Amino acid sequence: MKQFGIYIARWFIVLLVLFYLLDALYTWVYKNSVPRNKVSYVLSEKNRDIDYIFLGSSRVDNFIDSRTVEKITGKKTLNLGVQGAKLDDYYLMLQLLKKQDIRAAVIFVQVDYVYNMTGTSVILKSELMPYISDPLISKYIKERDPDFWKLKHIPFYRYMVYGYKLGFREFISSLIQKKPRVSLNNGYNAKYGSTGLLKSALPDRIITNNKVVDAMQVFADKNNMKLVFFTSPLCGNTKNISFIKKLEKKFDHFMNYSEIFKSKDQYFFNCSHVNDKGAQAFSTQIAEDIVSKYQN
Amino acid sequence: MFFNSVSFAVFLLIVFLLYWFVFNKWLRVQNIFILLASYIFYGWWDWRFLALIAFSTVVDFLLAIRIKKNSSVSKRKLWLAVSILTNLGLLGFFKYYNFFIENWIEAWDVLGFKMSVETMNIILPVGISFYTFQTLSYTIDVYRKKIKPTKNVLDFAAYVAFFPQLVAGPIERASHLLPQFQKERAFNYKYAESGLHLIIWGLFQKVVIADSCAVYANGIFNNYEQFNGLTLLAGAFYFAFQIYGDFAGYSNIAIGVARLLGFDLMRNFNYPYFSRDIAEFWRRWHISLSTWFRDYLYIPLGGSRGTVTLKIRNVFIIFIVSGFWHGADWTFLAWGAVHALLFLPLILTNKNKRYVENIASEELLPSLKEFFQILATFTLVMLAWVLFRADTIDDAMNYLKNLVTKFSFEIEYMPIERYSIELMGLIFTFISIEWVHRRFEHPFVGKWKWLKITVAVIMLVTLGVYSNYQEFIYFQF
Repeated sequence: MKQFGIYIARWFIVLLVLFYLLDALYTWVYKNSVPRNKVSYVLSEKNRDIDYIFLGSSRVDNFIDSRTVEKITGKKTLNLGVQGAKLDDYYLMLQLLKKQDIRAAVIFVQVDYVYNMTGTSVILKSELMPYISDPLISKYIKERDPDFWKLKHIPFYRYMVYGYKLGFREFISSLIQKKPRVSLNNGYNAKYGSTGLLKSALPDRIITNNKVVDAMQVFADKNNMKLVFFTSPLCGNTKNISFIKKLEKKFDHFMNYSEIFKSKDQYFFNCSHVNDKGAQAFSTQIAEDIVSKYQN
Repeated sequence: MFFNSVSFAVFLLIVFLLYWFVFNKWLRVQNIFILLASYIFYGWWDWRFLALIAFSTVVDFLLAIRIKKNSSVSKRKLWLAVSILTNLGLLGFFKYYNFFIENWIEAWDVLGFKMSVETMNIILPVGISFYTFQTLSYTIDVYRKKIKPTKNVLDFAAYVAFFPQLVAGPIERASHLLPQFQKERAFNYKYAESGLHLIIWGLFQKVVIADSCAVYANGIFNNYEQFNGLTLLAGAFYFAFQIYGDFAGYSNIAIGVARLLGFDLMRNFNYPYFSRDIAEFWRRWHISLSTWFRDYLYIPLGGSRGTVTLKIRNVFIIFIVSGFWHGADWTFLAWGAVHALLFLPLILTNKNKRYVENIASEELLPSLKEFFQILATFTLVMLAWVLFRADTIDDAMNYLKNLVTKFSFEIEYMPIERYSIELMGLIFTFISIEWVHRRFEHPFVGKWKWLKITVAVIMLVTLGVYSNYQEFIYFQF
């Protein structure tokens, strides 16, 4: 038994060392690679001026082609939408922009049914993992993930749990400095065609107020950031569209695009996501509105 | 509590320490402890079904004593029949009730009669097919006077519920496992070390191979209508390795865990994808089940003796029953029937025992003939797995039809985890490792074993799928 105990102890030490080495290696590679996602892109930038930044979920990621907006407005534009992101994630992005000293004339924030929700995007959280020792990111994960202790203190655990985003393939891609499929200087992630699933429903009730939105506005005021909230288009067959009218009342300056494509099904990939055709039309529309509202 | 979960690792550590350091002086206490640990392990899924295991245990324990006590053949037969009916009754109710009811209604519907018999929302208790077969083999062996019934209900209960193999086998015979509960167990370093190696290899098979393949196989099978033939072929290939990695992995972990506690469980897989014909495949795949069916069904039916008609009947019975054992669905029955058809030519020409020895045992590579035999056998097995995996017979037929009619050499992009080419690379690496070590039960042998274990652990950590636990496929059976 003693011999077996020594055998186990030896393996335990080997494993521990291995886990520490792998953790250090993965972290180093992710931090020193070309940015391959929006979090690493923001964290790789420092002291920059960008005119317009769009924050939100896939309803920004797949909706705003920054190049189209730039062409019309003549201003530098960046799409920082992240798949599945919620308001907490937008707020974190806002804080990261401040931390990295990335300044914007206007930050457009997409809200819709997410106003009623709490929680975070798994995708965004996975992108944060290499930076878990950063105080701001650490605090953010700690407040939202019961696994925080394990993620932060068990070596390599974070890369195992988020293996589908930060696994071996992403590690190799980062190691060889492979550029991402989506240009991060633009941030637009196009969808093509249509799934034909053009039916959706918004909540029938809206919550009185969202604490994260309040916190975002306080943070923006304190740091001289201008926030403008908007809603991206939804397909014509969306139930409870009056939800957006209720939402509109929660903000002073709100840009409501929820119904601009209500009779244009050809613009939709599915009911809550436009395809590339729809994204181009929407980017043009919002850019023209930006010119008339914020450039004249 | 899955074998590939942190909770099981903690559970096993606690059990191991208490078993060898606290309860090691008293065999009876050690067995009670195993029983308790096994019930905790099982209760982790659903404690309600513990009563079912306990019931099955008590019934077969008492019936075996009855069988032994009676010298009258008819009474012995009666008690055996009670045991068989009780076990198959439990299995039938929990596993097959809804299948029979639904098909009964459908059959009348076809004849123009509308029936409205309610089906029930029956939860299938995990591992019921495994432990009922284990207890059945006990009473049958007592009836056949191959073993004597135990008088110690705790030993018997520990044998039935032994946690390493409770929920997915290997299906152990009482003649092999029960005596191990009845004699002192001393810790053996070499034995425990080999157990650990089997656990690591089993985890590799499950977490790296099976779970990686699962992501793709599920993606392709669930949306097979939109893919071309090449992708569908890849889907069948991935599923073949998913189910193999999953089940062989589970079995290896089970055997490894048992060895840590000083028990020997039978080998359940012996590199089945290197078989040269279907008969050899069935001697190497899920060995504990195929030998169970051989000993308790095929041979009593007459086996390969008798007229051609009898031979054909017996082959079909054993394979269809084996298919049905896997699940209450026509797809499993069809899968069994296909294997019967593939097996039949071998039994009718007396070639079913051609390949008993290890393939190319003295060579590095197989001969060209052997290579094509392996390839042909694997292809047949892989295509038959489509029936096993598909939701319905129609889906399986359409899948196979599209595989042929929509064939093109274009590789389709799937927006999931790994690119096909990477996964293929991983699978071929796995095949190479298995081929090189086919004479051994796992690859961690020889003077480079330390290096092999280290590489396996690195691959386990970096290539394994941990984002969401994939359940072991055989838990549903």
